[in-house]
Amino acid sequence: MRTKQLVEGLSDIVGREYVQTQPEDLFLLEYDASLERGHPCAAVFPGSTEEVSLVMRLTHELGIPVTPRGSGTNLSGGSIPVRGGVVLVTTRLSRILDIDVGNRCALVEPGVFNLALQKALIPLGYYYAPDPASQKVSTMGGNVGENSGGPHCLKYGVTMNHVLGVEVVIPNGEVSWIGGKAPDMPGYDLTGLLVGSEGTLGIVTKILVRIMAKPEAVRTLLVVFGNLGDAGRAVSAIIAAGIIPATLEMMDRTVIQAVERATHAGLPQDVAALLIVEVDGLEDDLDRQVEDIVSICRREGANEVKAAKNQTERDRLWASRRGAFGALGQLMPSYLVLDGTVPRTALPMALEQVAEIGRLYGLQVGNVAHAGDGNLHPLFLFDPQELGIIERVRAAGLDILKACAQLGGTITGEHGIGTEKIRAMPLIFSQADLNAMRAVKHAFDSLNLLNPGKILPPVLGK
Amino acid sequence: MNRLNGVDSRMVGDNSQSTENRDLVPYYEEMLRCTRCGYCLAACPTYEILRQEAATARGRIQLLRGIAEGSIPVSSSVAYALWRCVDCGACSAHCPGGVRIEEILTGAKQRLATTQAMPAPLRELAVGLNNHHNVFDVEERCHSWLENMEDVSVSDHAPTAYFVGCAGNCDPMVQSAPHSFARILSILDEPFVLLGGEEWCCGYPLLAAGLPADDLIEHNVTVLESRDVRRIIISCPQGYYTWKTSYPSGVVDVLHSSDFLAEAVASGRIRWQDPVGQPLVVTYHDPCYLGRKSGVFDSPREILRSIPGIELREMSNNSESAMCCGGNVMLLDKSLTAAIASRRVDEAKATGAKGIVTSCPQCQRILARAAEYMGVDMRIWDISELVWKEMKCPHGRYNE
Repeated sequence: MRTKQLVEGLSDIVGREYVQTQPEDLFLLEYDASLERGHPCAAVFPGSTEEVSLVMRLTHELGIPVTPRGSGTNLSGGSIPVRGGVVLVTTRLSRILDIDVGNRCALVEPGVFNLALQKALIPLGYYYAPDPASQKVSTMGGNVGENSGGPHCLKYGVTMNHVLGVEVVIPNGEVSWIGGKAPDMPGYDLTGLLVGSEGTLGIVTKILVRIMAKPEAVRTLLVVFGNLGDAGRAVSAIIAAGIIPATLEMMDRTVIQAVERATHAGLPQDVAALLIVEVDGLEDDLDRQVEDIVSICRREGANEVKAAKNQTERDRLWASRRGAFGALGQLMPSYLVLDGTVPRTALPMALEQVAEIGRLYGLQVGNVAHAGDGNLHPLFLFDPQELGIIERVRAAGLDILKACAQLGGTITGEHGIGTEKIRAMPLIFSQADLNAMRAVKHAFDSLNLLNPGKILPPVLGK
Repeated sequence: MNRLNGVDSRMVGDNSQSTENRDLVPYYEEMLRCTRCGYCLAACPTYEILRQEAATARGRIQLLRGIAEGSIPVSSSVAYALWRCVDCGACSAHCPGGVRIEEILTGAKQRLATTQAMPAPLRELAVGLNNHHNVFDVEERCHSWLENMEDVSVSDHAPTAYFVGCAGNCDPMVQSAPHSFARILSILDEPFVLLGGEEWCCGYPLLAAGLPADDLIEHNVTVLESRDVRRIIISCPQGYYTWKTSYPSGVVDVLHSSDFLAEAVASGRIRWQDPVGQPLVVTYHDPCYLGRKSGVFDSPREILRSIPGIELREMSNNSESAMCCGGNVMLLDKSLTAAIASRRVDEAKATGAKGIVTSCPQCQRILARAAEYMGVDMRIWDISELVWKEMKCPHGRYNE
């Protein structure tokens, strides 16, 4: 009965063609890029802020959970409707509303692909710094929800450093503008609170982001190591020397092999690790920075340093890095990608522990890392048809997060907690910390209807 | 639903599930290799327009998995989602895992084509093709462009046949493309055979729909053998691909008309007129079946770059990442085709070009209709037409 009322109400708001209730349509909203799964009772595709607001008011009145979703590329289960209810898909909200070069900002709707914004900025000589590997398809709304990072976040910061304001619909349907073009907004930093809240506090319907002028010059280096630990040490040595490259990315042997099979980028084979180091800035500064980086890398044991000769070579190199996760399908049918962060100097030790945990659980492991940020993405490769494998992979994943926490790090760099890492939250937060966060959630969403079952572990005894 | 720690057993390929529909979906193991990363979404022209998961390679594969594992039934809406794919291959090119997406989808179509779920227009297509032997299901009068061939010398028997393809043969809007190519062959003194009404559809539309095309293939092979043909030059990229991949090998050599023209330019057989006035700025649209699926990217571009009066400007999505014109779903969803084609025309317009050149009469007609509907003043050329317009004719031009 309640479902009938819901579907009729949703149809009145957005039109019947933008409401899905057929089993095969809903089946396709059960998954994202993680291993999680959940079954919605309806899906709605609103076309405006007003429609989002009315949908939220309706579901709030009916007490039905809502899970926001963009392209469904989430890696921690954030877009999975684990408590059922309605999936609110933002793909129709996909307009770039304004590019304001004078104020160095752009206003976009949440369903805009990250790369679509980048492409719109290129002719103006501008770009948007956060560049998650999934940028071709991940949406700006999802990037805000997860506080997405990317290779270029080492020098320029993650999504929260680039969001100036948002229009947000809170769970009871109210619409607010938070932040804006003027700097130094007074009051609580609610923009900061919403970025990275994984769609649990509100649904952003407009996003005002900072855009930046493209640097005058770029150099991209591929540095080859015969030893994974050496590569890790080179990373902190570069930063310690006072150089902050735009990117400092790492791939290990397993990943290099998979990527090469998928992209034929010409990566060296039979090496333990490689770093992709990119520096940008004024043309006159770069040659010296490159020389310094090369000599540091050689001192730390690099076998070879190659510079990309032109944009095509640079693009090929980045395509290989961006395709790294999916490319693992070349080696094994499935994988679990982890996302932990350690202080940069602890990177070599963290990589050793990852390898050790892989051995302990008998799992093949590959490593991709935003090494400059100490952000590891160990990947466990497995065949999902093997009995009991999921439990083993999950247990190994939890052990890696424990290791990160013990090394003074944390349990996610950019993929979010979602449902996948709820159990790891107590590794880094006390009960008091978690209660403070629950109070924030309650202030926005007292009925716990917006993306429930994410981030916060259930209260003990409940 | 069979759950385990929040993970649906379907996600982990639990073998205890019902397997009764496995035979409807071959390549099951290959499907398991899709990690659902979603990178294919960005490449899919149908997703670009419809923005729904069912209009993506990831969604289509997950639907088939759902059928294979008994989670969802075979239904006409699943079948509709499966066949409403433009078959452009962009998803495969963008899949970092190298999942053999087209094999999965084609394999499933072949099995589902035997069920009631198959969309009716495709079943009707099969009937029409068997009646009139062209994809437009019209009478042989569609070869009317052949009636205006006094300027072309055609042989009854020759080692080379010009195999036109359905669009060039049957749609008056693009018949000047084959006409131009026939004139070029003629002026180059290249003896060739034209099959006229004896040229049947290559069978691609049936094969793409998951249906057999044995009768069409057998007919075309027999006709060519009876005319002593050793080589066909073909303008239709789907036909080119189909002859290369689905016809018995060794019957004839298969050449695309743009490859033939590029070779003739390179060897000096085709020379250009002296340029007059401002250069014509054009962009090049890669047909999916010639570019991405057959690897022919360079020939048309070499031709265009060699013409003194032409300036080539690339669209932002070109070559391996070129966007489809949307033509392959026209039978099922005309408005989807129109929307996809409009995007492509917009992209072309953004280059500042005054014309779009392509190497496919089907792309040509789809893009031309879109441009007309949008009120965009751009001419859509088949490369043969442009070559015919710009080439120097040693014995004088027959008619303009």
